[in-house]
Amino acid sequence: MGVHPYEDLPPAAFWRSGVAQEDPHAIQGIYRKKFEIPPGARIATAGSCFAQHITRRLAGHGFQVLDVEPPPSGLPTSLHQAYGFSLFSARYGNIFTVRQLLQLAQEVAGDWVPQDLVWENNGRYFDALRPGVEPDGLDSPGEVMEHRRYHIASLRTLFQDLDLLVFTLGLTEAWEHRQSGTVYPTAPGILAGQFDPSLHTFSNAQFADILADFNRFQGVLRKLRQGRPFKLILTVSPVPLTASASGNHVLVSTAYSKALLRSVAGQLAFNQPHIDYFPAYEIITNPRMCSAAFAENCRSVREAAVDNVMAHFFSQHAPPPASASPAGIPGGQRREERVDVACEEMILDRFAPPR
Amino acid sequence: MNYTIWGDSHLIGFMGAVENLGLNDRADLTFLPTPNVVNIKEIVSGAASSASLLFDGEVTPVDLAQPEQSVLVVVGNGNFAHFSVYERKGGLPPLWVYAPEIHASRGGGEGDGLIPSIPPVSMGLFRAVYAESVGHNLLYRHGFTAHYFKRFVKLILFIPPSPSVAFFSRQLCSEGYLEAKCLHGFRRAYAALFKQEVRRLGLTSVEINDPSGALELEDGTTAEEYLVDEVLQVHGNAAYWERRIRSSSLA
Repeated sequence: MGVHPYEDLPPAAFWRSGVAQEDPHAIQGIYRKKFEIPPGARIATAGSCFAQHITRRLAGHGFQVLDVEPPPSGLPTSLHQAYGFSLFSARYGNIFTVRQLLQLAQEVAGDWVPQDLVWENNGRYFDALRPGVEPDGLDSPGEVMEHRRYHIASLRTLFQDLDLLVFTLGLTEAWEHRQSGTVYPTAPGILAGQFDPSLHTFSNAQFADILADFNRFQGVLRKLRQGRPFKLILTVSPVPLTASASGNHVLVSTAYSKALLRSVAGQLAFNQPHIDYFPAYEIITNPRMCSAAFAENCRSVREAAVDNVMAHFFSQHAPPPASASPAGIPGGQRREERVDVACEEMILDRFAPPR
Repeated sequence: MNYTIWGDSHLIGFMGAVENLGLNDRADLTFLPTPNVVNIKEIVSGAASSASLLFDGEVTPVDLAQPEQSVLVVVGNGNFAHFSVYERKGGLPPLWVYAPEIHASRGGGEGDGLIPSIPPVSMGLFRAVYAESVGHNLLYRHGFTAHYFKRFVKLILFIPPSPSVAFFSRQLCSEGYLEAKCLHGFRRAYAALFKQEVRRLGLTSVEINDPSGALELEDGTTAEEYLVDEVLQVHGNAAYWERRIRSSSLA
């Protein structure tokens, strides 16, 4: 046989040796960090439900995960999640789409104002862009706006202070306010508000849109930081869609969304030196896991699988020497096989017809 | 009828009102300012038939009527509820829900782009933080028990008033001292929570006397002046408590 380009490739380059015969809990060469996370780096986390796992694990391993909206000292830990605390670096709730992230940054910069922001449910009022952070709602629309003002002011500090943002891309499907383009994390009517087809519309982002939105987000971030550099680690959530409003089978919609998001993340990491991609998605969806990574509902990621993902991360980004979690997000300890994350998207499962 | 009246510093004005109304002549009233009662646990357990009141280093015994033949009156919400808040947060207001390190050193008035010193707090979050401590403080901090409360024929609860939201918006935010909605929300929520916890005691007869209006404060009143004003208008103001008592079954 003659010389060929596959001759000297490592085992990781071949499916048989890199996947079929490889221990899925210790996949050699699946991730090589692009840059170091320096000691003391201030890390912000955001994204979809899966990002909550990352937040907890990073904090639990001693990384300095910022929290600009910490919980009151008297709030029981068991209630943090219910009020949107300790899930991410601020109480923004799940940020499922890149457009949502962009709009949030623009709002912080004062460049954009969301519309149709206050939703009502049974006489209580909710912030439509983070409806899950106040389970009982607020007393008035004015109170919603006041809470949001504080939240946005806190985010300015977050965006200015972070050294590294770990963002998990979750969805391409979203519901928007027609007139303004305000993107919601959940459809109106699910947690609060009322769906009105004259006001709200479905959107399914395309590759070019997502890529452009993310670059625009970076531009806003740079402006807020007056050019101070930052780094990004992107991941794609392996969690399938609970429901799809695209008209396609949810399996098809999920594959489409994840493929797009994976492609965007890959292109960003490939072309921009300050952006790294961490393959949480690939580790979880590895066929060798034989779906063991997911719980019985085939959606929720088992804690053991999260352990596996983060073990790969920490094999490259060694946790800081001090074992105690710094002030901020409480460290995650695995207590159950499946730790529930606060995921509004899961509520859609209630609307699935019975078999 | 006998009345056993426990209370915090609001008893100062309350006692004056009782005297002005001549209630002492018509009923058997026993005043028990919680900070000064040294044998609360014994009273609550039924082991003591008199209260030992400590004033200026001297202990004075006060006979107590049998709870089964008495009405329990609770005045104020300080010693029964947020006293420990004062202690935890290092003194008198701001009545904070959040840790003191999120302090006015970072705060500013509305519209200046700075983060307020205290995050706004929803009623739900407030309850989540304080329900347990209110219940604990109401009953256990000073040694009270639900059993003790239930021995009485009836409970009359006098809730102290709060300043108006307008005052806080107008004045305290401009000073960068306190987040208006937060403090008002705190007071409002605290009173609501306090009443809720009282109801949870399972008492058969409860009368809750709420203030009819907010504290009146002049424009320009500073935060420190507010504290003094509150003392003058409420704590030590017999005329104020006369009006409150007249609106209750105690009169």
